[in-house]
Formats: sequence, C-alpha cells, structure tokens
Amino acid sequence: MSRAAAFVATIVAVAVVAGLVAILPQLVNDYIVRVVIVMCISGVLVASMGLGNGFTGVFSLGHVGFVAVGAYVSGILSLSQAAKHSYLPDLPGWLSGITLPFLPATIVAGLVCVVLALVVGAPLMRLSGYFVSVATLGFLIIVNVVLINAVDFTRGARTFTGVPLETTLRWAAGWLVVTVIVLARVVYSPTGRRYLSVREDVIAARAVGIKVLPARLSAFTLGAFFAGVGGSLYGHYLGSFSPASFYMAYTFALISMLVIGGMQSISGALVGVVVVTVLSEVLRNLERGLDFGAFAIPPLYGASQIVLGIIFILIMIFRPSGIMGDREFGLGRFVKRKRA
Amino acid sequence: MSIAASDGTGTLLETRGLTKAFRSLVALKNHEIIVRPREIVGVIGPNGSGKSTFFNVVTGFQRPNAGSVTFAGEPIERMAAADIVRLGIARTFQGTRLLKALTVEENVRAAAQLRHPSGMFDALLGTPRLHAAARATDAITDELLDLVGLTARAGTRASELAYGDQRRLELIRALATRPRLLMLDEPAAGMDSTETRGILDLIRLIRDRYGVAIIVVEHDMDLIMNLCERIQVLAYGERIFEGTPAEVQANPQVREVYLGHA
Repeated sequence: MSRAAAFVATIVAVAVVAGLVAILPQLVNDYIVRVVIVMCISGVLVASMGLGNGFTGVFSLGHVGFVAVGAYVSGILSLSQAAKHSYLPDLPGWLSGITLPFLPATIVAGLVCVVLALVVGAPLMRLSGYFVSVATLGFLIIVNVVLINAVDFTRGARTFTGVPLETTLRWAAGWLVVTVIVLARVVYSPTGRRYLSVREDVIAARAVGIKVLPARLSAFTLGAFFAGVGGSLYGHYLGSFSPASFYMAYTFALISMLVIGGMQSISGALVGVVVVTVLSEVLRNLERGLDFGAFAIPPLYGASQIVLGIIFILIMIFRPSGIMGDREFGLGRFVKRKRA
Repeated sequence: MSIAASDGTGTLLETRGLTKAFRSLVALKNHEIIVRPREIVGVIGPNGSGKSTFFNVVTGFQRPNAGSVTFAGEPIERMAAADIVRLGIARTFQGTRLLKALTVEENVRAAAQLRHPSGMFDALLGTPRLHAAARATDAITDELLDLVGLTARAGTRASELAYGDQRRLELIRALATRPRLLMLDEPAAGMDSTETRGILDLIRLIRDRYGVAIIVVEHDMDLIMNLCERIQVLAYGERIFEGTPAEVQANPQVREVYLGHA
C-alpha cells in the first residue's frame, strides 16, 4: 500500500476513534465509560510491552516497574501545593515548589522512564531467554522496594493520594492512538525489521550486520516511555495508589493480555486487552448471580477467576501464538504493505 | 579505510598465525591464508579439521587466541561480527540460518538495509532518508530475488521454502550486504547433482557480476574442483597443502588425509 494510502488510513482511523470518544458517553452509562478508559490505558501498556517482549523477543517482566515509576513521577509532579504540604511534607524544595499540568507531567514521566530504561537496559539487554525474564523481574522488585523506602517522595507503603483525577476518556484514547501510531511506524520500518531479525535468530542478525544490543535497547527504551505514560494515565485515573498497585498481580494481568492477544502484532496486544477486560467484567458481574424469573443462578463468588483461567488455558492450547499471532488488521496492515 | 585491495591485484584477506583453542582442543593452529579480490578459493578437510572455526574467527563469531586477520588492510580479529559485515565480509552458515518467521523478501531486506541505514526517528517522522533507504533496499532486494528465481515466492515465509531455495535465499541475503568477500559454508550440502550444478553456476555468476571474492567450504569434491581457482587443505586445524585443483588431486598427502585412499 502506498504512502498516501497509509496516511489516509491513519487519518480515517484517528477520525473514527475521535468520533467514538465523542459519542460514547452519550450512548452508554458511566460504568462502561470507565471500563473503556481502563482498556485504553491497558492498551498503551500492553502494546508498549509487546514492542520488547513480542517484537524483539526479550521477554521482560519489568514493564510494570516503569509503569510504577511513571505513576509516581507524574503524581508527584502534578500534586497541588496544598496536597504536597499535607501528604509529602519532606519533599525536597525544588520538587515541592512545582506543580505541572497533566500533559507535561505525563511526558516527563515517560522521559524519566527512558533514562531509567537506558541505564537498566544497557546491562540487561545483553541477556536472552529466561535470564532476561528473571533479571527484569529483579528490576521490578528493586523498583518496588525503592518506592516503599523512598518515604519522603512516595509516602512509602502507605497510599499515595491526592493525584488529580484527570484521565478522561479523551486523554486515554488520545494517548492510545499516539502509542499505536508510534509503535506501528517503528515496527514496520527498517528499525522494526532489525527488532524482528534479532528475535528470530541473533546469529543470523549479526551475520547481516545488525547490532543486537542497540536493537534491543531501543525497543526496550521506547516501550519504557509508553509504560511511563501509561503509568501517569493510570495514576491520574485512580487518584490514589500504592507500590502494591504496580507489582506482581498487575504484571501478570498485563502479560496475560499480551500473550492471549498475540504478542507479535500490535493488533494482538489490543485484542488481548479487549478480550481479557471484557471477559473479566462480564464474569465478575455474572458471579453475583442471575435471576431469569423461572430459574436463577446463585452467586458464585470467585468463579469468574476460575472461568477466566480455563479460558486462558484453552486459548493457549488452541492458539499458542495468541488470538492474532503476527497478523495485523486495519492500520497495521496498511502500514506494513510494501513500506520500507 | 584502505581500498587498495579493490584494484584486483592486492590482498583482500590475510590471516597470520591464527590460532583458536577450545580448552585443550586446538581447532585452528597457525592458520594462514591469502585471498585476493575476485578469487574463488576452496577450503577442504575432514570433519573437525578447523574449517568452521576458520569461518567463525574471520567473521567475528569467535575470538582467536592468537594471530591476526587483516581485511582490506584493516586488522579485524578483535572486531564484532556486525562491524565485520559492514566492512565487507558476508557469510552463510552450515545448514542455513534464516529469519524463519519472516518472509523471503524481508530476509533479504534485513541485510540490504545495512548499506542504507535509517533509525527510529526516521521511521517516526517519515524523513526523506527513510524513503530513500526503503527504495534502495527494495531495489537491491528485487534484483537479488530475481537473480535466484525467488521473485514469485517473495511473500512466502522463509521456513516454508524448499531446502534448496532456503540455501539460495541465504546466499542472496549474504550478498545483499554488498560484501567484498563472501564466505560460503557448505553451499551444496544436501543437494542433488543437478542442484549442485546450479549452485556452482550461481556462485560463478555472483563473482562475475558483483566482483566479490569467495571462499567456499564444501565436502562435494566435484563442486570444489570445478569451482575453485585455488584450494587450501586443512587437517587437525593446520594447513597441510594449498594449490590448484589439479595439484590438490595429485598430492599424495592430501589423498591420504582427505580423499581416503593412498
């Protein structure tokens, strides 16, 4: 597909999303709008995790570490002066004196994660396979421990609160669109071809002149930027959170979305987010019990988790590379055709 | 960069005293070879004679314990594999190493884009550099796919190709990096005599059309004797003989060590 067609496709896709965002709150209730916001945030996080984990084949368990950093950094930056005085009285002067609006706070959060990813990735991206998974898990643990102990900045294990609730549907959907466009442009470019080559066969990649570490590190770093952005979105959606909000449970939730959707395509990441979120919400509502008049399903608390687990197992048995595998639809396909 | 070697008379590749040991096993011992531009040189020897170690050391996949490798006037024995490719040595592997899940054309593009670099910001911003690089990469890819008759299979996953086509794909992928020296590790392994004949013609054509020097490791004696202008014989990591195909066939020591009859 030509450059012009790809451009038109992008414009159309953005217009459709903008239209949906505009009319959705009129069509459905507040609960569904909130679910859609969470899906957009998860989309940012899972798609950016797929960049490293799926496209370069470096299966990191540390993504949520960057999400946590993003949430705390942007949270500290956007806390009002009054909130800083009451919740974080020991914050250094240069930090307690500033309050940034949502957008710059989010971008700074992403950039802090970029710097952190370069520092952490330089040694870790030399590892492959299980080693890099365990090592990045170590990064997640370190972030968690630092957050708990940096009491002056984070209130430690106590809830960090007072973050303005600014993540509207528009912000979340807007950042999702930005994330998908950026990732698609990079993945389906010569740079993305280096990522895939490194994933497929490190030795073959080196034999055609591709340097493994820079390829992995650039994907890890770009992924970390959007992890930081997503963390800021999530923080400004929740308003209050603690280090425990960004730890193992959240890591595995995001990974299951990525793996179920298919981690070798951006579409797969998004499909995984929608499938897992919708299934969880539907099952969670079902387990409260149903009354059809003639017969009733009694409440079965906890059953949703079991059903969800079984569905995960079935998908992995019948579609081991996820629902989408390495296929893209819509925008991704237009960008992929005959480009670069 | 010294290009003195490119005039067709100088030395393109030279190893001196090249030694590589794995614990107590000396895989390559005081190896020496000189390859000139546009030459086709064969390296033969029984299994374990050091042929693959020689390839790996020259192409930067293994570090030598001693000795030097000079390519186009530059010492490369400490250089990373990717940098050596950039300098102009490309290789294939025994039994092929393709990017299996990628299509045939993507395999070639991954190599061709080496000479037309573009980065993440080019991709993000859609710079003129990105589009120029894409056009150049596509042009090389189309030309090379056509060279080996894989144009119709451009969109096929590499893993779905027949074995002979996989070998041809790996060959043009190496060529797509625009090497001055091409090192082929058993290009005809597992091929029947018709296919071997085709590979022989292809290697010659590649040398004539692209002006590259070629080193071939191969067990197929017909291929080696018909293709190479010069042959080096290795045994136990050492060079035991070097000469024209006729000289190699006539040498009693070579016959004893390698051809298996005195």
